[in-house]
Amino acid sequence: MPALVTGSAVRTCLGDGRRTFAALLSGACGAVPLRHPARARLNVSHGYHAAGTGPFGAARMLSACVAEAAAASGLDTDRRRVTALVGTGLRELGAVEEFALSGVRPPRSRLHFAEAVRRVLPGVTDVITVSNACSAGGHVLALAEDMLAQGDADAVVVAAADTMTQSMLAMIGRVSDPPTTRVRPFDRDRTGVLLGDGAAALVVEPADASGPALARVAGTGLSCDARHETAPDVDGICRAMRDAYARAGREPAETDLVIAHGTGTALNDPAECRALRAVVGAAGGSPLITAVKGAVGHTSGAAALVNADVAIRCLATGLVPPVAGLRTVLPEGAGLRFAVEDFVGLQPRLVQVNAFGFGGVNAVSLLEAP
Amino acid sequence: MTVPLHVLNEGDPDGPLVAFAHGLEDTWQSWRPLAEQLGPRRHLVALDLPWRAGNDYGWRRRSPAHWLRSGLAALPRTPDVLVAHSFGGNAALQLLCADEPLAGHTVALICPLYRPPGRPVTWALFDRSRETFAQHIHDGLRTRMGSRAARVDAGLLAAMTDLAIERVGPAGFLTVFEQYLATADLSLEAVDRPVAVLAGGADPTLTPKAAEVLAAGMPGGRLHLRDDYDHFCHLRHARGIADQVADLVRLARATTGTAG
Amino acid sequence: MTTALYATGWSLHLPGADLSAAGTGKWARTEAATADRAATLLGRKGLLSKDPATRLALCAVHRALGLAPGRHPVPEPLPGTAVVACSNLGNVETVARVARTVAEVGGRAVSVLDAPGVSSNVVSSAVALWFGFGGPNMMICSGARSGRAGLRTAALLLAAGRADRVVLVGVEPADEIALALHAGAPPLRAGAACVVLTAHPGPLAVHSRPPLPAAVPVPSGPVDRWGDSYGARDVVTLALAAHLVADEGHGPLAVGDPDDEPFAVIGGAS
Repeated sequence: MPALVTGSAVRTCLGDGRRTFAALLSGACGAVPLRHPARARLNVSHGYHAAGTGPFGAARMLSACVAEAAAASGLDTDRRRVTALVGTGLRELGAVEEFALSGVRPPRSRLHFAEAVRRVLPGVTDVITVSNACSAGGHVLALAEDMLAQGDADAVVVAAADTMTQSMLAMIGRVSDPPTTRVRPFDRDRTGVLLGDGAAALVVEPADASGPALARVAGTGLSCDARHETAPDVDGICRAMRDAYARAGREPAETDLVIAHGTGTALNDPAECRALRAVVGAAGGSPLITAVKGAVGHTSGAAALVNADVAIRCLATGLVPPVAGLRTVLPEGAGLRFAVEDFVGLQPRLVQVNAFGFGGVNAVSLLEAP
Repeated sequence: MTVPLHVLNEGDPDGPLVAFAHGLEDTWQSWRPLAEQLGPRRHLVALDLPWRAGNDYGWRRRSPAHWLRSGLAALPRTPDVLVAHSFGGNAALQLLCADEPLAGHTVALICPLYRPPGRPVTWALFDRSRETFAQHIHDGLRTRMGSRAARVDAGLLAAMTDLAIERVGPAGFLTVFEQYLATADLSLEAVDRPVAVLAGGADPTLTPKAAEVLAAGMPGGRLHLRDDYDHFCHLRHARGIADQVADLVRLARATTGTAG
Repeated sequence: MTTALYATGWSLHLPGADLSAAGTGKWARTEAATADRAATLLGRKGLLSKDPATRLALCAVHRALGLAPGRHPVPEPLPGTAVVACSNLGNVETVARVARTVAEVGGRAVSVLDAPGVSSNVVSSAVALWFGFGGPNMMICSGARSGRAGLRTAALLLAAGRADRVVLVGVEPADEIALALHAGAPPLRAGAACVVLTAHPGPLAVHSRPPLPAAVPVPSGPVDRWGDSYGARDVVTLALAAHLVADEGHGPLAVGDPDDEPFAVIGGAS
């Protein structure tokens, strides 16, 4: 069911939404030497750090985004039933690690994000934390569309946040040798993924809402690969894409811009290219493809909504950022059109936003001008 | 680090060759509007120089002339016309003063940086250059956005400008500033091949007065000045600039005896 | 409007709990394998690398689906079946262990078998992978109210046509880290519960949105005596209510906290 986005806010290593988009258009890369006490033991040398993280940093970034997006949309929690859905990959598991190492026990209520939302949005009727790995943001956006369609809420704050955990960094370090220094989505010579701190919040309202809107969500498709614990699966990804088009009642050929998941890993990028070719290319589409993780890192659960914010800004400005870090397109990307080197002037009609996660959880959203 | 070449138009096999050198924080793609005005016959090649937008200024270890020369050396032959803009024009000026044959049979210098020899180097000049530089980055971004610039809010453009200036950094700016200062000491008298200096009344980088001194200092130089040209006149006035380039093509073909 | 869902299967898998106190009839005599002995129900293959919470959740789903003991061949992913899992502490032991390994030995000593478990959705995705459920997959980590959020999510997925069947499963482990994080509350109970839901009319209606039909509350005493299932508590209560209504002849039962409006009613006219 279509829904309107009436407010959007993000925080990444490159700053707030406007700063992030400016930096993306400028081709910037936010990777810096990893600032983590265990750096020397992790085989991870770089990361995309946002300002103001540290203990419970995900909750802080989340609060900031929810407050900003709610204010921008003029959200009124006194007169309307507002549910908040928070997507996250790693919750505040950094606090669990701290407990394991130093014995400082976090209150268990702070492992999810109800307090972080209620602090800045006290009138919210319900806060639900959905921990759906790297596509958590896309999953909560889908649920928000369903809630509005069912009259289950008058407006939904769709938010997401993640900061780096030591345990996830350790897993990245185990599979990249030598360590990656920057993420290079869809590049032939990509060397793997790096984590980025990030948060985002969208205010989503019914399609008939009055007042100014930033974008229309035409629909979000979901699927689970059910094939492998951590590796992506082309069939599963294709099912999410097809579900999105079926729900939105749109044709893949209409899509002229894709904000790809593009993690720069050995497996994701070829699988994503094959899926795009199978669903969009085979239907006659030839969209421009961009991706942001070369600039802001993998913001895990926030990645889908960071992508959505970028899509909204592409719709508003008619400018599409290049894929930071992409020099030579990978072989599986032959025939696909990537935005490289410089921003591209393009007024998209329909934008596809991809997010795929650990456990084969896939979310694909379609956005357009309101 | 090499200088990639991008063919803007294949043209006829024996048609004239025109090479393009972009300015600082600009891209080879900025030549597209001018290329479209130059017709289907000419072979048009844009150099992708290391001072392109978004670069990390690692190229500073070598002179701009070195980079331009290595790009020109990769062309199939000496271009009939070298069209160089702004900082790219300064690289071309260095090659011209060194009488480098690769630098084209004829040359169009669009709004290069130039300090007339009599102009003193003061802090006021430094401060003004800083301001002009920031303005240049801002205007360059706007120009590259084309018609979409009108839809981009001022804050986004300001943020992009800030990011670019931050990335260039003091060291990058000083490189450009020193290039500018050093132009006063160039041996312009060595430049006897045809060189058109294209400048505008609306360009803060190269004033009409400085353009006049520059053109007059080169034996082969001539000035083409228009009040409505600004620093990015090759984009905004592609038609008029194309006419100038076409004149140079004819001149080059006449002098090299290849005119058909 | 009351959204009508229907339960087609339900299970409690609470190792060591005395179910007889809840008047659970035939359930009172069912053994629930501990996580260590989950292979007796699930078969051995593929179980080795699974954490205790995942094993318990798999057991609960296995039983709710009414499968005979042993590993069942995994079909091609069924796009029509969604999974909604509810847990807060399911992967905290894995995360803590990995962090300790990094601190004590170094990152290279970390096992890649723990990779799925450093992400909090390990339970929901493992259920999907184990049984071949290719529909939407949701992991709710929303504190003690995770189960009712899970039921609301399940109802939405069915109403939106994203799935024609939802496997709602709640689980918490009781390892050292989970117990410590849960300290100060009633004792943590390791175990899982599952309710399989569809939108196709069936004998056992589940009402999940107000106004809910009149019903008496599910007896809360036994649930409390089993210990605090935390993120799984709402699903435990739902599954118990489903069992009491469908198998033990109870009238409609309301599910929720004693002092609040119920979040669901099991049974009664739809």
